[in-house]
Amino acid sequence: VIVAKRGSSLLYRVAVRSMRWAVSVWPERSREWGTAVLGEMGEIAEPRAAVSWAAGGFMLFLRAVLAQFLEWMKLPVGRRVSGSELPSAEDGPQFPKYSRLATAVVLLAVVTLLFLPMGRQAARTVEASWRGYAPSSGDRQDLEALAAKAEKENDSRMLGFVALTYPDDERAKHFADRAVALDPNLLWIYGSRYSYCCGLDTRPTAERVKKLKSYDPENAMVYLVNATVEGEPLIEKNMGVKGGLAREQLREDLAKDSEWRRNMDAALRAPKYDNYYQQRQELMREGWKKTPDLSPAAIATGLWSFSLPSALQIQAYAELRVKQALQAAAGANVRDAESMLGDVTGLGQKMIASRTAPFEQLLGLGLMKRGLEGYKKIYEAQGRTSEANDVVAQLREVETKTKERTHAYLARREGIERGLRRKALVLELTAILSLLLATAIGLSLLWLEISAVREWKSGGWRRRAVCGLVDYGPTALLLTSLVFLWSFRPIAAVFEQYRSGELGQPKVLALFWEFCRLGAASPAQFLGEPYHQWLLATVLLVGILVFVVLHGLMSHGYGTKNT
Amino acid sequence: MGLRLRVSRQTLAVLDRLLDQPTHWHYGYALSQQTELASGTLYPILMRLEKAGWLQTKWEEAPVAGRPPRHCYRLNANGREWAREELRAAQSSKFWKPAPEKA
Repeated sequence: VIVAKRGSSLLYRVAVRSMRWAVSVWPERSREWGTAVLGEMGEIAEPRAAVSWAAGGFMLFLRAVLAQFLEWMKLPVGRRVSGSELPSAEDGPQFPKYSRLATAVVLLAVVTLLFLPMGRQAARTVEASWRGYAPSSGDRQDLEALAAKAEKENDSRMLGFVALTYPDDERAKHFADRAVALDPNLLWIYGSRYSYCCGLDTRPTAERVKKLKSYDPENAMVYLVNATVEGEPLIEKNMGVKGGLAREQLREDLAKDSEWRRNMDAALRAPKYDNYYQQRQELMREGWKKTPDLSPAAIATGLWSFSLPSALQIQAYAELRVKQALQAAAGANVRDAESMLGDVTGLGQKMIASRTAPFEQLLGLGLMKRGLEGYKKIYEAQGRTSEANDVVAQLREVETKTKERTHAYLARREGIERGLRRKALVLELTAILSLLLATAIGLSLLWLEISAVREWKSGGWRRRAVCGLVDYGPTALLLTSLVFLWSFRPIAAVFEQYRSGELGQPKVLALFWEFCRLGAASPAQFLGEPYHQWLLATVLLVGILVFVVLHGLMSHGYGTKNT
Repeated sequence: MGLRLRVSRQTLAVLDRLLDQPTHWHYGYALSQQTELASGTLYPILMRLEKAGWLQTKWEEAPVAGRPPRHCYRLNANGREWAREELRAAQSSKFWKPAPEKA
């Protein structure tokens, strides 16, 4: 009757099969209890009762598995729960001193440290520096996802941020277009991204420059961007085979280009100079603040791709204007000559007043100097001694400022670099050491566990070294990870200050050099400097010494077998 | 001898059933029905009793071919003595009372 009642029930069959499977994989030590539960199933008439019985049996199975796992965790790596089968006599294999649980706890602490926000940032920053801050495909995917989300939420500023940080030109232009379509006030992005330093071609197209002109017609930068686009092919044309530039020929070619001259002229006469540095920093801060986990490689791209006017082209035009002014003065047209020179010094003054990058301030001072030299020549030729003396005084002032600013810039850069050098080295070294340790520990764990399953007959100094590594490696890894995070703290603080807008311009430069110095201390660049070569040799010697000492200790410490 | 057990109401119910016919062998499913305990609760109790040394177990061949053998349980002499003491103590402290006999 029982068999007839339950025989056709799918529920009953599923319950019995599940229980049979559980018994087949039940930990050996308590398998008889699983068999006992299964043995009773033949007496159960109701399919539902059978399912309930099997469910209880399954709970028992899970408890048995958990108990077996805990027991396994309490044993050293490489020892099985059925460890009594392994030889425990004098010729048996060595095992680590500490349990799997102790090893796992220390490794878990390391993982937790590295998964904390600062740990993640430190790891990503160092990893990006090893790639020379070249964004990876993963970084591109992150930025794409960010842009897709921003598009969905009509977040024009986030799209603008992606446009500044995206490494590929065409996509960056696309995101800039989308940002501008949502918010025309972001049109400055077209003139803000120009990244020759990263090997990227992000020159704005003529159409975009036209939009930029109508957006900000009084800004010299807009015309300089346009002129740069116009003059770039001429620079490429005059670039020699060995990379040398035929400057005279370039000046002549540029002077013949009427569109280029028109834009340069407009730049010189424009009432203001603004390279959108502030807006750009603001947008970078805002974007990075919203996405603190974004790869530093993307941030570095955004940081380094800001637009700078072409010094070569500006100087070429300034020289042309000074030459024209001198010719006009020679032709008794002094008023025109003064006006032309006034345009040159005027742009220089606007660049200095714009308080942007030191490069632009020095460029502005250079323009002032060229213009003032023109004035000096004209006044001296005309015997206007008093005015010539005034100009000489102004020239002295410009030269002094140039020297001061160059000196201040170099000193600041040197100071920042000196401060960063040790920090960056410690960070990079601990990162390399942690990576090597983690790999060695991982391989050792794997080797010990596989050798236990496969019952490899292994011994000798290699096994002792592996056991030693499994015992002390995790603690060493925890220590190196702590030093790694500790040495990243000042860099994390600079990042945070940048995101919160607390950094002034010199500090933004510090951030810039922070990235550069980290890149310079990366393994790819490591052997480039003699200082690093000595450091590497020292580390290697210390490593050999530690190995010899450990080997000696382990020969004694692991000589007696763990039974 | 053996481990000191924490005696719960469920354990007391199992002991009560095992003492009902102390020299007879009991089956797991029958015990489960008598005590109204699920297999997931009953078997850990039986396992603990066995580990403590109070419970005897044996395998019994199934009467029908192809079925797995059945596991049977009964308390040994020490176990019976201990179980009676525990049940008495639990009843006097009103921690537990025997289930009324089913009609």
